[in-house]
Amino acid sequence: MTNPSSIYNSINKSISRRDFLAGLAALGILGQQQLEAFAAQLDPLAGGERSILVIQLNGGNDGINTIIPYGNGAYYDARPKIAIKQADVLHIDDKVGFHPSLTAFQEFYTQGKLAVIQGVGYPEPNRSHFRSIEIWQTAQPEIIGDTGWLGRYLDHLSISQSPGRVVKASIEPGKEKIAMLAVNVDPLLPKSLLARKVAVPSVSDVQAFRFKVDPLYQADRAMQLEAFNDIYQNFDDNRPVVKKLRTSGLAANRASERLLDLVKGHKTTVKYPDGKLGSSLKFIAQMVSGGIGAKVYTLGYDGFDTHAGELRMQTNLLAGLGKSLSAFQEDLKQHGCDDKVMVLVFSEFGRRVAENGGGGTDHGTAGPCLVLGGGVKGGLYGQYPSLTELDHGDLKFNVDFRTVYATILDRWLGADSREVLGKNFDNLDFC
Amino acid sequence: MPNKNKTKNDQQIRHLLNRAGFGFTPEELAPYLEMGYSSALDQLTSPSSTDNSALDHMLAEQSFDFTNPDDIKRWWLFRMMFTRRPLEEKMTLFWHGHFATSDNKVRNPYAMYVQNCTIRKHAFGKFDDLLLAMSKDPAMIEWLDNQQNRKNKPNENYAREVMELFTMGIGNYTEQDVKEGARAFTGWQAKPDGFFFNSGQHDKGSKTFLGQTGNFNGEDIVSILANQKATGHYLAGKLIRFFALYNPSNSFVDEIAGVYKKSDHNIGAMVSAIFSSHNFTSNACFHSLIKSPCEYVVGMLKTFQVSQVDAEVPRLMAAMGQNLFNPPSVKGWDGGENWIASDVMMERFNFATRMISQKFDYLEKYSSPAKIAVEQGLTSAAETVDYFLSLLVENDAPPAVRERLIKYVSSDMSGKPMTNLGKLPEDKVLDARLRGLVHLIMTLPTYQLN
Repeated sequence: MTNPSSIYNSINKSISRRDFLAGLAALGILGQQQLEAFAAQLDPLAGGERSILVIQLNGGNDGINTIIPYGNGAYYDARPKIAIKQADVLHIDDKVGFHPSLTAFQEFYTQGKLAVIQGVGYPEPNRSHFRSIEIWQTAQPEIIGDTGWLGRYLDHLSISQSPGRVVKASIEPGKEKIAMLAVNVDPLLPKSLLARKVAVPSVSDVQAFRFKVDPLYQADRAMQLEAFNDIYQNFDDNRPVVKKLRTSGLAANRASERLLDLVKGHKTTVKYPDGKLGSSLKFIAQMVSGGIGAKVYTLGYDGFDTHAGELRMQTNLLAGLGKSLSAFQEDLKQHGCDDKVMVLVFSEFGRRVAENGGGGTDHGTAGPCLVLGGGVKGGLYGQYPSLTELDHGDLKFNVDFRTVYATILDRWLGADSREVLGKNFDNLDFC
Repeated sequence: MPNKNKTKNDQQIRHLLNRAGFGFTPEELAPYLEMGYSSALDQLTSPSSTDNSALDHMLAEQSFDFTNPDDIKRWWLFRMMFTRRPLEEKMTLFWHGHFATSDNKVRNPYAMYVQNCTIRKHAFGKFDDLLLAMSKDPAMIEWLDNQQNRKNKPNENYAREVMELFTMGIGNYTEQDVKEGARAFTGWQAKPDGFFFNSGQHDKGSKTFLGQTGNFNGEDIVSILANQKATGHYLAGKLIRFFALYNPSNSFVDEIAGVYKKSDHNIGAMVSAIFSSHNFTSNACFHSLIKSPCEYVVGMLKTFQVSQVDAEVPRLMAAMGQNLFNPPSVKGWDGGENWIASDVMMERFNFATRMISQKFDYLEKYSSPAKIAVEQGLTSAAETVDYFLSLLVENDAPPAVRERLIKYVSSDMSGKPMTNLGKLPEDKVLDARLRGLVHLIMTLPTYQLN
């Protein structure tokens, strides 16, 4: 599982080390001091070529109908209309099993590359979508945090280690190659990626992500881009909002050129399901196999707020998730990278144990986390929460979500979870 | 030469129109400049006193199909572009983001259109009336599952969001209040022809809600919520952040919350107080908000007088992060820095490209950059750059940027300096340069600001 090659070696396939560092500097992602520190630790960069993809199921996925406690009569008592029949559940053991539309996950499980972590949550659960999302993304339940757990990881990555060799970044203007520490594949940046020192680009549609000029004056494009870059680099203004605009505008144009190159070079025979999830995962596979060197990818999948008509809605959503991730795994395998990406799937909360009047469920608390990848030790982790000893009708959590994060940070990414999460959390054994 | 005060006043009126509306054409701006700031504000905040029949005729000619999801977006964009009551549309947009309902789930464009008309009707009135109308609105009932909220089988979705997002904000109620509130809204359903009170599904029992006990129904809950102190503060903060400043002082929020109380929950009075405040007219307020895609797009259409709104326009706005009638969640659009993630920035830049490209040259009123330059009698590169910097960003750009733009305009297509600018409209190089110049100015950081 351990891959000794460094991030530098991995990106060396397509770009040189010098270009990579110059790119980071040009992107405005790292200042000179951080750049030097970062250069010093490139051989070997902790965690090597490994990366984490975080998929957020937006709206509050019903964990009870995802990992189904079919061996427990209380499940059928609480959900006369929307319980999944025992015969339809895809069994994991004699107590729990997958939702019938998660055949792909059952396969991952059999292959030993899926960890199912049961009963994940946090103390004093908040049933607001927005606050609970914020808690999961910041990993700071006690305060309203302004950085995300992944953002803090990237900050540490960019400045840790002692300064060593100095890298002189001198390359021809306009020729810089770009590497990115993280890419968000959604229109909006999640709070999990808010950082102090690192700006993460958001790219939801790589083909549309290009600086365009009047089609009749294509020859002018290079001159406009040159003027644009000069202007954005020299727009001398102290307002914080102007600085943010400059960072974002420069990152957009620089990242665009690099990503379009990368996508052009990617070949696969895998057919992804239609729709945003499939196309986003394909794009991520292209970035991984193209050696962009990102440590973090993030992606949202919408529609899980099933207050009504849950059976049909959740079936479609979970089937889409399974098929898309199955294609993703296959694509990575074709490119020899399936052991380099770990996928974490979570939702801001689970749902009420008892069904409501509309064939759905209201906002709840704890739910399962799914962790997938070649580097995962598959199996069931954590205890399934009791269906009868409840907190206001909701499950009591058994596993603090920060232990899942800590495990990924410490064991997979080779980071120090204490630095990122502010205190020590136990590790689980899923990797 | 205009005197300094006049220049300052004129700039404040443009600031007001940008915030209270979606920018302006020269014809729209002139009468406001004539009447001065306080009369302009009076006119904007009392929309029913302005005749809008020209817009009604224009909309009638377009024969929109209100059951078509693209048509309702184009209909609304037409309103934003051609209304004589810009603040009415801006307030409607504010409330659309507040009572954020998405056709993505409702799947009924006509119901979305009806909701939009209901919002517009109550946009300046008493908040209680708007809140009640939204609680009974068929699209809202579908959106937050109140159709399934039945006696003995309550569905909490509406009861939670009405407190968390529509009135008081998080932290002002308990989980028990959510459950009790849900009981009060049981039986509030929608039928194809509108609201329907299903008395057989309504829980008539006693509820304890926010410390008060009674056999409450939905009307009672609306009234209790509208009378909470937290509601005045929550609305004041949200209105200020939408119209004026991202980080208002506590005293400014208290002041506007005070207006909510004193005016018996009158929204128009709150908005009027925001625009009258020194917080709004101060220099720190100018160009301090990031334009929403609506403001960016409609403002640009007005500047260049593109009278055509094809279905592509709302689609491109969606790519910029603002899909009308389809907000990302019940929280609406977060706005601010969320409007400028790198890929949505690129969409903005490319919309500016579309705006200056030759595809619109055939439109009668379209002001291409070259046409504007001829009308203004611009002859040198510096004059041209200065004119467009003033028109598009109120000269909010450092000197080095101005110099760089002059260098761009006075280069030929191979990048070599040109000694003489050619003559418009024949000179194709100059035509290309002017389009490029205006594109570059519309990609400036300060053009993204309002």
